[in-house]
Amino acid sequence: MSELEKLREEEALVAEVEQTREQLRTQAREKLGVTGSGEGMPPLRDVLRVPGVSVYPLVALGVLSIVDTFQSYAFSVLTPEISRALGVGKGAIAGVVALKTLFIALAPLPVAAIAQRKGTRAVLSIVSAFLWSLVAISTGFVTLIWGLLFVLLLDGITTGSVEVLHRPLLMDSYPPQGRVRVLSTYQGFNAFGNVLAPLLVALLSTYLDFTWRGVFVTLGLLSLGAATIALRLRDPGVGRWDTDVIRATVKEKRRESSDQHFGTVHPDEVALGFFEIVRRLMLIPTIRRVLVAQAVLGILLVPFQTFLFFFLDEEWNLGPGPRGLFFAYLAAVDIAALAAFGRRGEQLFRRNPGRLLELGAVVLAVAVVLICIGGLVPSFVLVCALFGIAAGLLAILTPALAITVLSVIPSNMRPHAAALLGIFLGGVGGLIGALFLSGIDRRFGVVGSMVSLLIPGVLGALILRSAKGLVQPDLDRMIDEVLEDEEIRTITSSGGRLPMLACRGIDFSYGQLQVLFDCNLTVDDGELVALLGTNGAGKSTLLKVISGIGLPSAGSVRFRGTDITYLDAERRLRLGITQIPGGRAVFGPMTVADNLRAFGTTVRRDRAALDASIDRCFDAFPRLAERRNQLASTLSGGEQQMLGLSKALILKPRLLLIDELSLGLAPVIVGQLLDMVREINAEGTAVVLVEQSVNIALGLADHAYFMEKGEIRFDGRSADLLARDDLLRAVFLEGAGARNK
Amino acid sequence: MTRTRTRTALLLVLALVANGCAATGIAFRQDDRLRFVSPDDRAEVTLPVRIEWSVEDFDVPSDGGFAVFVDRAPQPPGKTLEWLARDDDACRPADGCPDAEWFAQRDVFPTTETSFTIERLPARSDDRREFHEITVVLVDDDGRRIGETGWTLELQVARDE
Repeated sequence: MSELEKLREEEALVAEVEQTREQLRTQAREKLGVTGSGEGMPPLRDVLRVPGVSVYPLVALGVLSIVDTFQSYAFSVLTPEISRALGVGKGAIAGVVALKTLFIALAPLPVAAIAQRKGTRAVLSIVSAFLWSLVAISTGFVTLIWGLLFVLLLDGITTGSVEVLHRPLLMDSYPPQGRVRVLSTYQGFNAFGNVLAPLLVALLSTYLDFTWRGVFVTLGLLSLGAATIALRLRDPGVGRWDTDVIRATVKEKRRESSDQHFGTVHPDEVALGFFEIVRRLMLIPTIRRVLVAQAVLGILLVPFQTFLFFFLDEEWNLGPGPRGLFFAYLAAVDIAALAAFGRRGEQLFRRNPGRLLELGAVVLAVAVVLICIGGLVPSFVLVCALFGIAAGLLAILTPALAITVLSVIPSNMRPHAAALLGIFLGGVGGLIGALFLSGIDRRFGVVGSMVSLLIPGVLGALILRSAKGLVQPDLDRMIDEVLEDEEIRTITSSGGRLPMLACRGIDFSYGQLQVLFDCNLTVDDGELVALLGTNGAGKSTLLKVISGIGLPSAGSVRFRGTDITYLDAERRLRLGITQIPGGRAVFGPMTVADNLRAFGTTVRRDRAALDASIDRCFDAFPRLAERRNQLASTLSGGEQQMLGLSKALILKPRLLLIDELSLGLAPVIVGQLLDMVREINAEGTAVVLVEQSVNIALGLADHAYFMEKGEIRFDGRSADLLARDDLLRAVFLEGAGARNK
Repeated sequence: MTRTRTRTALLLVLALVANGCAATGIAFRQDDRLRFVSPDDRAEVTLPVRIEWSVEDFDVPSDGGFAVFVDRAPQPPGKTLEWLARDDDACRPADGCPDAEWFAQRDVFPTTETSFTIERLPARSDDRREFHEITVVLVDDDGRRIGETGWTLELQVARDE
């Protein structure tokens, strides 16, 4: 076969792989409910009849969301009565409420951590519902301010957990084909709670003559009864309708049924921890953009209700009762708006999930304009109409944003994403909003505050609009991760061999500056690979991505087939990946011996083994033995590199990443260091050596990569790279330029 | 270890909550022994304004009297009016303090009448509509608050331009 025929065959193979991947991606998208068309959408009742699907989780969580509003609403309405009965001033009550708000904002994070560790979202939902019911009952027996403080803080924790638990549970309980409608219905339950709570408080306090204590006890008992409805709630498992269906797509294609664990790394060793997941989420462009939008929305939405209270009181002389009715009316409009939105939103999602963000931007912009006009019109009927329409529009924002955000991330990360959404909305935006609107209110009065909502509203709309184009790529990226996982599973189950390290499609940015573009790099067991390139080509950055010091904005890093892209650097160290950074890779203020001991301590080796390793380092580098009690900062450059390289002798990694070993060192020293690298490699450690010196690198390694401007420009045998003048010229010219200087 | 710590934390929280709560001496149904006669709630008034109320099942002065609080919270149930002076280092050692003058300076007015005239009220610094809250509680002969109900009337004060 001629070279040309070989090349064509390889190209055809690559095209086939790409085509298969695109087919799989399209199928996976369809299974996730993104069909590209609004047509053929199944009715919700058909979705609810799918085997294994039941209306019960929606009803149970919906009922919990109704009663979740009781305590907060009752407290906000009955604050004056509580203040008088306990004999405490409004300032003290305001302080307690501020603390409660803080707890609501912060509670989602620990609850997400518990949900991740224990995997018991359903149990946590039930427990928190019983807790907040008991808290409501306890509120009725409070006699001192700090008793009130404790019950409110407990209420803050339990109600704050709802954000983290309910929507992710619903996402896992229902197939993607009906999720927008399911989340809208759930939001409708919540709005119904906002209708019911004022009516119940009015009924109990005005018509049944209950004191605030009686109201809390009654609402708590009702809540307790409602919580029992949710007792049969079970956790459906994470990713049942997402990750699992994407995996099934690949298996269907390959006609496989294997579900075994693959690779030699145990899943527990690479399961992302809580903060690793949060950090990984923050790298997803849609999430980042929506979180910024949430913070801006928080400025608008969180203090809006409070200022609307003042507006109705001061401008329209409405007392507590009529104000309660006004809010119940707004909540009733919310229900109607959500009912109208469900089907339409589902169609938009099917076409392109990004369209939901676009819709969110439009409704937000219109809503704030209506609020602004509503603050100025002289007729109360017009106020009702304008605020009603605005409330209806704002109501559909929550499910629109939730479904978009929760769809572009792996299902196990949904509680974390929900927690972040809550924190950015309530904690960040709410706090800024309270300060912003208070300032406006002092200067321009309550009408000025209502009008000023135009600023965060329009800003939030623009940010949401800008996120539209990010959703589809992020969804595809999430699908690709699962597909890649499955493809690797297929390779291993068919007896294929996996490389020790495989980086695929790596993008990396320092802030807004992208420095790596679609980089692929593979290292086999025991291989010695040279990574060459001009200054600033991105070699050291690529090493950082492999060792976990830097996290890529796209692409994957797999170690023995297992995805470690977002694993912490110290956990990669335990897997056997060690990096020796360029320059002075030592702790300057510590002695040589202490440096070596510190290297060993990172993997908690026993003392005897560590001492033996240190002795081995001294045998390998006698000059270090002579200077064992000398501070590392006083060593020469070569000695410091010896000390840095000793890290590999102590840790005995499976993969050693060396950055700029020879830079600025005398040839004799470089020779000693390279001998040691060869020895380490000969003992089975794979090595990636970043070098500026072409001669050194290609003399040492059989396999070389060449990088230029953040891209891998060559991947092949070192001998072949030597023949590529077009690439190497740049390095030689740079080297010559440096020498001339 | 973790379980022990969790239990300890839970017990601590329960103890604190229990300490801040009570099962006796608290009312779940509204106490309607006192009703405001005039003016109406949220009525627009000009100063001076006379507040009138009626009372049932409470004999004055044999059962006690009233304490009127203007724009401030009353003392907690079971506490005497002197409790309001607990943090006033100048008043506590002085003989006869707190007296009627001390209370009046702090917008607290003990009375055995069923009416009370408010001569003046502090104006709001901003140009908002001016709402003031009048709270009446029942007190015994020692000024100790009876029950935990505070009857409240909200007034909108119109100032002469």
